[in-house]
Amino acid sequence: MSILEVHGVTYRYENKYQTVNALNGVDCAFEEGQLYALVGKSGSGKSTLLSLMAGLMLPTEGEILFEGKATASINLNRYRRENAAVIYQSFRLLPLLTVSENVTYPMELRGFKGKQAREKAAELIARVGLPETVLNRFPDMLSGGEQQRVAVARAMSMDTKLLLADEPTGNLDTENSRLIIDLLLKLAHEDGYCVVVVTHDLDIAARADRVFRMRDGKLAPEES
Amino acid sequence: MQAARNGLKSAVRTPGKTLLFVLILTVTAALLTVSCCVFGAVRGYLGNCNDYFRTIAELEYMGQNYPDQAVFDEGCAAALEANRDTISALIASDSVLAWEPASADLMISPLIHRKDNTVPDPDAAILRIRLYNSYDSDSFNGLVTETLYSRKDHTNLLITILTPADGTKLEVGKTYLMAGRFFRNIFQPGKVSVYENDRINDVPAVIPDGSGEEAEAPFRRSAELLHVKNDSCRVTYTAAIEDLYPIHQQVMFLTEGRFFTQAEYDAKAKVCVVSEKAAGLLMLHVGDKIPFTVFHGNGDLYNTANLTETDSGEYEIIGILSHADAYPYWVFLPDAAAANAELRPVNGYSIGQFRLKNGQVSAFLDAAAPLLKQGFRLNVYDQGYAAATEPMEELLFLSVVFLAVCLLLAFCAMSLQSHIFISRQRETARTMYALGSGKKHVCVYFLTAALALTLVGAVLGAVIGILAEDGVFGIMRRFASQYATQDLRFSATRLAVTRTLNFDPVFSAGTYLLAAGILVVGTTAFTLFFTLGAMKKRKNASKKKSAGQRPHKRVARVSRLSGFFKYALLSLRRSRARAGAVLLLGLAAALFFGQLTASLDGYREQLAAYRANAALSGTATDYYGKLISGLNIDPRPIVNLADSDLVKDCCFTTSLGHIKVLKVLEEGEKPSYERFQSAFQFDSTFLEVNRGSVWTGTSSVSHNPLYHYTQEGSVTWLEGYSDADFIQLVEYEKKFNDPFTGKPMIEKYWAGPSICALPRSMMEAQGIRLGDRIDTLVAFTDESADDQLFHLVFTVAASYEAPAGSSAVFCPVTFLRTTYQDETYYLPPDKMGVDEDTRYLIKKNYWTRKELFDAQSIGLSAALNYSGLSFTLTDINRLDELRQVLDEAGFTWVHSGDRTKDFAVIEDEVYLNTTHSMERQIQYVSFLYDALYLLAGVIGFALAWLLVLSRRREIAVMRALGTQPGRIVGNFLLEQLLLMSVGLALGVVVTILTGAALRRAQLLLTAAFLGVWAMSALICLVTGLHKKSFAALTEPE
Repeated sequence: MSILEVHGVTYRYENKYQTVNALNGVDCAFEEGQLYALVGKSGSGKSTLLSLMAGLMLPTEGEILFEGKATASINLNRYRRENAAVIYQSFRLLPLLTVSENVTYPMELRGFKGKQAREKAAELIARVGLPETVLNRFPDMLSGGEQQRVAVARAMSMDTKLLLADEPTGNLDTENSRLIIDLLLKLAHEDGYCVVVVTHDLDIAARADRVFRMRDGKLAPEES
Repeated sequence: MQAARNGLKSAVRTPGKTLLFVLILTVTAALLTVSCCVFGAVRGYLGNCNDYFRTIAELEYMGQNYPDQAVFDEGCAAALEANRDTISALIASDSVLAWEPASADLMISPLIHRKDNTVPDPDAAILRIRLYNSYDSDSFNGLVTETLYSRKDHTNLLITILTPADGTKLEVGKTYLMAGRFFRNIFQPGKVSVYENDRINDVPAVIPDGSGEEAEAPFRRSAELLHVKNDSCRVTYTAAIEDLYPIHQQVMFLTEGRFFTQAEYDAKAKVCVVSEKAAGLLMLHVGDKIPFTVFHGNGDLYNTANLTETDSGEYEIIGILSHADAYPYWVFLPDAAAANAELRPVNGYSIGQFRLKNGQVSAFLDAAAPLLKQGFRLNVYDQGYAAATEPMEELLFLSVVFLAVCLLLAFCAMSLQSHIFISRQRETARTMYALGSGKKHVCVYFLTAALALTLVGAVLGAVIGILAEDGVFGIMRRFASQYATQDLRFSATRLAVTRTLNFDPVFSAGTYLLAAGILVVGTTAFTLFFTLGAMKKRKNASKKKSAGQRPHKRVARVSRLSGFFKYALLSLRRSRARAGAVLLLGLAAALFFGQLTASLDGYREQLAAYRANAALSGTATDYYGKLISGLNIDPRPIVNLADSDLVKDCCFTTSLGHIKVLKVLEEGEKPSYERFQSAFQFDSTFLEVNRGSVWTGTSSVSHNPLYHYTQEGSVTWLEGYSDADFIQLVEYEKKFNDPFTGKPMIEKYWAGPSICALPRSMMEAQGIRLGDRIDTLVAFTDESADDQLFHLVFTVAASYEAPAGSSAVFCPVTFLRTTYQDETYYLPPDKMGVDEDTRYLIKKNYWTRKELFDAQSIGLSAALNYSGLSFTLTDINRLDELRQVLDEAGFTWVHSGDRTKDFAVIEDEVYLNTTHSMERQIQYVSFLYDALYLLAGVIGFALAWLLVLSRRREIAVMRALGTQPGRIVGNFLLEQLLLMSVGLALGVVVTILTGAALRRAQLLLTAAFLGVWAMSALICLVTGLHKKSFAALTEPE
């Protein structure tokens, strides 16, 4: 069963000079335990689609259903907090929080506190392959690959079924890119996450369970 | 060129941003221009003050003959010789600009003194007389056969003479050589009479003719001496006539004349300036010529042996001086070399005069301290420089603050504008750099656009500045004009500024260029800084990444914080630089508010204190009526006023005349009473004393009208008896029966010891200490309009801090009240003389009831002698009521300066002018401060906004993670509030620690600033939470 369904989603960016249809009647569905790759040229609308799926904005037309409920009808804050974890190309860790605090932050939003949250964070950090010593360091002390792994740990800490990644390897070298993709595959296949990765990287696409190709705001025929 | 063109294109193609930047730069330029103009104008005004006012110190020697101008004092000569080095050092001291010794020259002219009687010995003559009969044994008739000396030729006139006082017997038929004082008998034209046949200049009154040359020699020497004394006048060579002490003090004025040209000076043209009196008596006008023979003196000028003729010829009158009663025959000759003249002892007491640098009187007096212990005295007068400059210096401080705030604002505006300008195009810079454009090329690209905007902004700002300048200067002109009069307000001194010095700043293109220059330089510097920074950062970042370096090595402690505000608390703890900056800003803001509110409150308190201490002084003086009647005015309205509930703290005052403190008497020493040798000596001494300190009897020094309008409202007592004791010392009651009705009466008498209170400056200048007995010379005009001049001895019982330039000597005096039936009569003290040793008591200042009625019966009010009343209005709002009461009592509102009017009662003009001008100044300062508060608020608002805006990515991340908006707003708002609160609180604590009073206005402004800060942060947060805020998530780092 699909955890996330996209039905006829259109999204228009408007300003006083022009109107741009970033998405134009997109239909697709995502299931748990799978890693999906959204590929396409720049401006094809893949990041916009990811933002809609992440609950950062609502579609102009059509609807996005999470577990059968339209995102337009639910509290998006709560949706983002409890249902959709996002990993960004630029990591987007909170600079004033340590690695541990960055990971525990989403847990605290959901009511976890203190030692319990910290232990969970340590466990997640270990799972993403980082040593315990990074726990009390600040993000700006870590390399890009390390920061992205912390971002993955933070996403895992949200305990969601949906994990969205926007160009997660865009700022990383080959080795770190490989590590991150391995991690995401593992999360999809072993932990049952529904992982959607927006990428330009054809190697990543090749390793995905399914690939959605986007062109001019529409989905191209599916490939497996 | 290509880069510059592209830079300009980029500005044109983003009209919205360009307009915003131009707006910011225009406002900045306008503020800078106005602040620079204000600063420059105030500084210019202060510079004008320095040019306009001159400070002169006259050096006197308080010798045995002081203050006789005619006598040569050997003691003065000795003191000069002994202190020559000290005086030379004083002349060379830094505070002295110029020195002119008193002239030791005389001028003799046959025209001088022929028609007036102010010469030293107008009637002295030495005549050869043949006696031809006698009235009795002491009176003879004779014929003048020869005139050895006389101002008028008596030869061949009949004369009546008396037997000399030494008893020499005269015989009819003999011829005698006689010295004495003779006058033409107006009742018997052609006849001369002697009224004092006595010794002149130690010459025997009479010797028989043919006594021999040796016996006649003293008569011939005496004739020469009389010639010098009576036919000469003092000559003063000066480089700057306006700096001469009496002219500088405005005792004398040049009323007419013509320009004296440099060519005339170079050609040593014989020109002079004479007194109005001399010109009038001799019927001379500007352009007329007087024959002069000038003698250089060395020692006593009235000893012909000491005189050397230096010049003679016809001198053209180029100027006439008025109000020169003290110097009727003083001739001024232009000569710049006078400043280098040799320091010589001269007749009189004035040694010379210093021209001082303005504002350096204290330093000068410190340097002159050794002289003051050697019998010398200094009269220093700055023409009101201190009074004029003090308030303007305060304004200068404000303008500096204003300029500093504007510069700070300009700094913030330029840096922010440049930062935003570059950061918006950072990618452009990096791309250009990456594509191989040199740094220079990239910088030119950005600089061209930035400078184009700056120039447009500077021009528009200058236009606004020019438009605003007139308004601002108008306010300042009104502000400054208040100080060009006797308005004293915030001045600690009480120097009367009687001249008008206009605040008249001129348009200065330099100011506008300066403001534009600051903008151009600032914008250039910031643009270059951020442009280079943008390129450098890129380079460093790639370096670090390639080398695997990490920018920081810090590890945080495990935080135990939790809860809703955890993020705010962690942020507070960890962003120390930002927190420190906000704390500092809060601290500075609180101190800034504290300083300004203290300043404004200070002005308000001064106004309140002035109002609280306001006592409208009354001086009921019937000068004119007294002159014609010899009677005084009715004191009862004054006393009735004192008894009314309109006024309180009444102080009766009696203007006793003028006083000159001569010296401190040793224990047991009595003053030596020298008889005046001539009417000239008496007159000149009288006028000299009259020029000195005011001698005032008062029931309260602190509330005496003389010092009524000072800043404190009263003088400050320093030591000695308190003000209350000072007057209590001299009162006692006497019970007696009324001589008319026989009813018992009580009188309070003033009959205390001869004590006085002196200003500290006078005591320091003359080495007087508390408890010293001082010999003084007092001058007053009695009821018969006769001038009186006496020695009085006082014990110095107290000293007080007088406003600068004032030197009144106070003696205690109280009005005596005698209660009789239903009427109350107020009698002045029965004795004005203060020492049993003195013979000089005012004869009649005690008025009986009968005399009061007698005075009224002939239509004249009986009066107090030169008396007045000072008082404090119980309620300042009842001023109009007081006016009405005084009007009904017959007092008019005429200033006492006009002596043809009867009364001068209440001087509310100064009070009203003062309070109005203080209110205006407070209004002006308040307006300025409000502008500064607004600026501070704008800066606070902008900074808070920018601080929150700079963290928009954090906010976006938190939102993306699903943080509730309330939690985000709560955390960020709490952080800003806490930081700013602590910063402001620190400022308040520092204010307290520095000893300054904590003011309500400061707290309110501080709270308002906190509110603005929080409001700005809140608005920025709320507006930043919209859906577009997620765009920050995808922005490049």
